[in-house]
Amino acid sequence: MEKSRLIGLAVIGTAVTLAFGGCASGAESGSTASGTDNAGKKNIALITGSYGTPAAKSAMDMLITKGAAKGWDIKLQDTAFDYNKINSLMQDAASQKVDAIIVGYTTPELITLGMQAATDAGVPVFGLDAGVQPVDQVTLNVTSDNPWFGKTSAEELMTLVGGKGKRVLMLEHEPHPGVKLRSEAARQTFKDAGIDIVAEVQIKDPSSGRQEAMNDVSDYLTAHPNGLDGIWGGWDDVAMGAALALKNANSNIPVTGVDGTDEGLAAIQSGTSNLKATVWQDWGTITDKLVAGMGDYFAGTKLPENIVRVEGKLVTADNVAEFIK
Amino acid sequence: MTTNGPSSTTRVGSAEVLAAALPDRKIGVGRILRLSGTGIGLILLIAIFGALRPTVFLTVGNFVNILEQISILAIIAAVQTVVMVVGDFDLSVGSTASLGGALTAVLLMAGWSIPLAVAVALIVGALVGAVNGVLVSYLKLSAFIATLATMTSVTGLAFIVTDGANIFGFTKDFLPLGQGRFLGVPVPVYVAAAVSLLIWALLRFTTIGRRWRAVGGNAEVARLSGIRVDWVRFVAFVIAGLGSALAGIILVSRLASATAQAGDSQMMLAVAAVFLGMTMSSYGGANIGGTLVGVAILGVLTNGLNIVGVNTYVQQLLTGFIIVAAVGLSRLGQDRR
Repeated sequence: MEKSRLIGLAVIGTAVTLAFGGCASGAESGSTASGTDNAGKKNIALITGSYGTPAAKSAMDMLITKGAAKGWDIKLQDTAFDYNKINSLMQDAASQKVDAIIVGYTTPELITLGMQAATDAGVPVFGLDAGVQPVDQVTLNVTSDNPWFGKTSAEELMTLVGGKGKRVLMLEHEPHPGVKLRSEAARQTFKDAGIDIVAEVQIKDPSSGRQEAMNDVSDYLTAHPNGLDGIWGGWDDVAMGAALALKNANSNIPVTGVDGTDEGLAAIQSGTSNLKATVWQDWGTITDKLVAGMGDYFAGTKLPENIVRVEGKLVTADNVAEFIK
Repeated sequence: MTTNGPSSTTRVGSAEVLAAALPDRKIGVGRILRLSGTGIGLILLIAIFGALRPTVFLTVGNFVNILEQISILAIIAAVQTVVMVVGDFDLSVGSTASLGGALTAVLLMAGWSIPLAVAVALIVGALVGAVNGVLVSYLKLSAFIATLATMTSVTGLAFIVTDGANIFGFTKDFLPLGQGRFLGVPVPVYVAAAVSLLIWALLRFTTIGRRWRAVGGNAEVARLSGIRVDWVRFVAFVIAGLGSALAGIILVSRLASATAQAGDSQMMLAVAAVFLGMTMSSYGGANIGGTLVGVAILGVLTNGLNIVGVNTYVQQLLTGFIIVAAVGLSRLGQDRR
């Protein structure tokens, strides 16, 4: 018994040593953890509330690639919507005196402790999709125009279902600042147009959002077999879940999403999915503008504004081919 | 469960073990309430939702709908039951399901055949269970710490496997596993029923099943009886990993896509279902029948509240209350014995 435990511990110890050794040797090709090593090279902490969704991953990966092309070492840390953890990670990054902190998928109001730590340490904070209101402590926030997304997708759904008096179900997730803004804009658009919002379903966990949406929509259809004309999804993954539930129910009720994920675009292009439209988030432009703004800042150029809002593009069956890679 | 020292556990039947565990077998109101509280809770829920929306809730279509929605949870809860019978629990079942599904998806997209991709995912799931088994059984780490660590690592592994992306576009032949129907009943329901039946048979009729129960009742007595306790616990964790991976594979087929965390949310629900089911056991242990009732309660609750139109946040609040109420009801009279 004792011998087997010792062997086991030895195996684990060896594995851990090798793992750390591998990590350490890998890190040697990068920069040190703190400060600038040499001219042009920047150590940047990228702290995000989300990386586990296709849209978030796409944006973060683009940002890291474009930063690397400028010689920046951007280290990504995902908190999975744990905003307190964003505070802690910002405090860590500030104490390490990184050259900049980029926060993603949060709003400055949710991370005041981290913002203060960065300010106190003199570390500039940039934002990627980090709120829609300008905040003094943020050097530059380049964000999707989420209210525009909500309004545009809602208008398209109204076109699909026929307008005033029609009944729609909304799939939302209030803890996500961007989705919350989309939902608010879509809700207002529906109300202004006389659309009846029959249910607003809050998805509990975005990581299993498709399954939740699928079950919730199935239940709604069971309870109200003829009680729905359209479904508005706050993001493509839940819209896809709704589309699967409708397909199972042999229903042709249209669904709209937001994000323009590869899967969402493919579904629209197929013509067989209930997902009929989405709003494509222009992550290419967003990350271009953010990297350009950060470059200007590092070069000593004063930035003209500290928030830039980027609209997306409505994608339907008519133009989806333009967006398929 | 207490076995009171079976002299030869391999020959001790479940009836004898249970008899030994129950010094007082008088049937009183408290005892009946305790054993049937969770079942009564399920019947009450069905009655309440049936009364509120009889033409919608009490339909064959809706019950098939509920069965479909709980089938994946039922598989994970069934294998979690095995681990909890042994007296441990496994926090990594959800992440193992995610990994199993993600791995299958990636391999299918790489052109592997369906049987091979599924087989590899199942093997990896069993390996994750084996790691848990080694950590808990042989290295004597607490199940909480060991499986928490495994859960974290496996989640990371799932992200590495998928590169954080949403994997989709599988061959159509893979989809019937999660989306197909036979005689009007979704295929995942058959799989869940088969897994549950298998686990029940293992626990009820096999030597390893009796050993699991003996170890869960009193590991030291089991060891003195000649049972290789470490091996028995190890096997339970392997079963949990294997079953979780299977659930993840079906989930991916059902959703026609895979992500690194698709199955994570199942873990807490599975634990809750097993705990609910434990209240139906005369000896307070995990049992497959009780677990399935627990799963049914969670499924009926979500479905019923959705049909009645209760807000999602209120649903979560009520779910917690009802779990406590079911367990509380089963405790009535327990201390009076």
